[in-house]
Amino acid sequence: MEDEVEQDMHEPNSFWTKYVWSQDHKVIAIQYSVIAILVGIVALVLSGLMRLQLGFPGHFDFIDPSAYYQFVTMHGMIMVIYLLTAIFLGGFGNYLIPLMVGARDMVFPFVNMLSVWFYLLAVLILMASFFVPGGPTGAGWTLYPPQAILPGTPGSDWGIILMLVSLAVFIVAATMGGLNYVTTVLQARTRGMTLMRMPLTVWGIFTATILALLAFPALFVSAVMMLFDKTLGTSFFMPAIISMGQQLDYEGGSPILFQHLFWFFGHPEVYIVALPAFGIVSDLISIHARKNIFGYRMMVWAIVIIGVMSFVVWAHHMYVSGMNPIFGYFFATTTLIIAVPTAIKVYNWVLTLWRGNIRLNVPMLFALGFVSTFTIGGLTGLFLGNVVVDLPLSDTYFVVAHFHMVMGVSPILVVFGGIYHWYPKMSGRMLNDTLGKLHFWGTFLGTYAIYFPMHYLGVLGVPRRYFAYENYDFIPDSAKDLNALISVMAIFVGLMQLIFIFNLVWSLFKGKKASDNPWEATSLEWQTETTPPGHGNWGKELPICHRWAYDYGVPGYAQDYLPQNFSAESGEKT
Amino acid sequence: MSILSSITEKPWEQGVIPKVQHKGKVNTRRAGLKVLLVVISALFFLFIVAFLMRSQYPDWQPLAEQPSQPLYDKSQLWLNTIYLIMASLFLQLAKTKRQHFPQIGLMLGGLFSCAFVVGQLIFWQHLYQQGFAVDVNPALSFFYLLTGLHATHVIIGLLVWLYAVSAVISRNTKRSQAIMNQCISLCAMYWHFLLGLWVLLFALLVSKPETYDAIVEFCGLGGV
Repeated sequence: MEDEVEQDMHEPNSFWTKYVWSQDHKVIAIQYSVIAILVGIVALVLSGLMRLQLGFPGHFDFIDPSAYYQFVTMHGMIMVIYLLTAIFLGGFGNYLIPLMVGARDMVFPFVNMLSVWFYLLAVLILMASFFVPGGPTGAGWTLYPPQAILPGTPGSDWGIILMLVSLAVFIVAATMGGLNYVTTVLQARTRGMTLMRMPLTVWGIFTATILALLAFPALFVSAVMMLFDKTLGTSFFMPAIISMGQQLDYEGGSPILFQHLFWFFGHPEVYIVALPAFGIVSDLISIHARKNIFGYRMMVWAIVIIGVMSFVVWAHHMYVSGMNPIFGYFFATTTLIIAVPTAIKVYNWVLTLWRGNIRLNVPMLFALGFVSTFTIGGLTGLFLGNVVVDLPLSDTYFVVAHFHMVMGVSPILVVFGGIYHWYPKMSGRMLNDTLGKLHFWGTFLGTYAIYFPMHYLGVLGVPRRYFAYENYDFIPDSAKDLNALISVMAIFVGLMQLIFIFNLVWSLFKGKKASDNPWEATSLEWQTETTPPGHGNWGKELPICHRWAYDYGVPGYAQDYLPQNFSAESGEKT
Repeated sequence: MSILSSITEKPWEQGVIPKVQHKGKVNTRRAGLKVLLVVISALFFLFIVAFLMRSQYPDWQPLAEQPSQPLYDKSQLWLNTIYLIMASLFLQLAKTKRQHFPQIGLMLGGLFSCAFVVGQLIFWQHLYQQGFAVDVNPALSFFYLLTGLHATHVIIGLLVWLYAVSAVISRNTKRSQAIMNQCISLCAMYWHFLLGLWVLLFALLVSKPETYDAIVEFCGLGGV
């Protein structure tokens, strides 16, 4: 009863408290997602500009080398942190966790609201760097010192400072959100919702949040220390160095120390993005193939094992950094071991599809697309995880192709799949199916056309991070043709996203009205009394969970799915 | 239910539905604070690892070996440590809820914490006046960084403390009483943690280089 009273006190009644300073997890989730998509569009445009330069060098006067590096840096950082991390944890996490575990809201709604406003602040600080003297930093998304803060690197005056401050603010936002997600899963599950009855989406987001809470501090440490080096003249990372003919005041610092700290964050970051994607894909595949997920427990354990192991593979990003070569053996081994639980997940997705009653709805198309791109991207990861194979391929387009397939294209396909899947619950209307299919095929085939050829460029030895490829004898003319093709496809895929944006806005007003449970799914978010769910999510009583989230095709029932709150004894939902 | 048995449960089998799952707000807030403390621990753990790795480079100078070094005279730091111990102690006493003691304990706990923060600032100023600025040597940079960050955490705690004090001032209602009790309990846990953290940082910063070398050797952090 106390819970009911507490909820009533928060009931918003003005426009401002309902949509702007809202403490409702559903509104916060949408705020997070809208900001992330908007900033993602900025990053998409930046990638288009990069591709214009690479595909058609010399044709665009406004792209000089400095601008090119700034595009690269901002594109990478925005996509990884401000789009993918934010939308998976802040967007999907916020929307789905309370609904899927049967809670009325996050456990700390006020902190949750602060989280989204800090995130917006971080985005604004980052965007401000486009308008300061010298522009944003062009140090590459890894921000390696010493070059990141030395004159000569674009944005080394203001851009790098704004980047570091923005990251620190983002980490505060992510921590406030993360506290909510973890505590809500641990404390606010409804009656009967044991840990092993939670949908895999919740498991993925939950584990990724724990990774974020433990890994983001490493980024915070490196950002703060680099900020000290830049602004106060300390020498944490800065060695004694001569820059532009002048001996600087720095001495004795260790750039490798930065790399260790950065990648101690950077590798778990890959899984902060991948684990929610794994979880969401598992649910999409199960729901749209009308079958229980194959090997549920193994799927949960694999998520947890991948999460733990992601903390002991970071130095595979540093094989060429000059670190102790013996470390290479250790990190190559752990990297290859992490492929085992990951492969288990891929097999289980395929086995879930096996003899399923597959409905090729748009979310399902995106889920299947993910399995394909993730497998390809994961396989090239096995190449790069081996030290001897990595050395010649390092810093070539093979690496660019690998990480875009595995943590660019794959998670973003899941983001799209998830949005097509849950949009009806969020808005009460279906997204347009034809536009959705067009969007899927354009994006899926288009991204393959971008990244598959890049593997060949990489094997040819075409280096990444170069502004132009003139006068390199080892790069044949055909590589330049291929680059032009890749650029055309990149622009094409970028334009395809306009269909998606149009669909989101158009369907909000003109889309077909959605029923409460259009996909006939079992998990609790589809069993709410109203669509979209009202404040407090559930009616007077919280739902009671009687079963796991994968009861599809249970013998003896007329319908092919049993909702989690369906009681076999009473024969109705509770 | 233990962790092991909960993650080996077979969810496809029909299970028993527990009568009550709801754990109440107090537990939730305590759980949230514990998660936060884990995150702060991770943050400082990584700073300490960075400190130890940086200590292996040839330009490293210890802080408390010779009279000419900045932390040789530790009297102000000891005084600050006592302030923080007192703060922690009073909050713990406030938690035990003896007659009238919660209010007094809460007030004194906060005031001693303020004294700690001011004391740290005085020590910073003292160092600065002696010419030990933040960029003089890397150990000193770490000193400013770590003490500054620790003090920031104390100040964040003081914000919660202020919230509790405001509840004390308007302590007519049952609700403000409940808020105060809850804040005291959470503050006590947070302050004990900050005290432990401070003692660890203090010990680390004034240790001898041989100690760093030994830890680095033991943890295998050398030569990375």
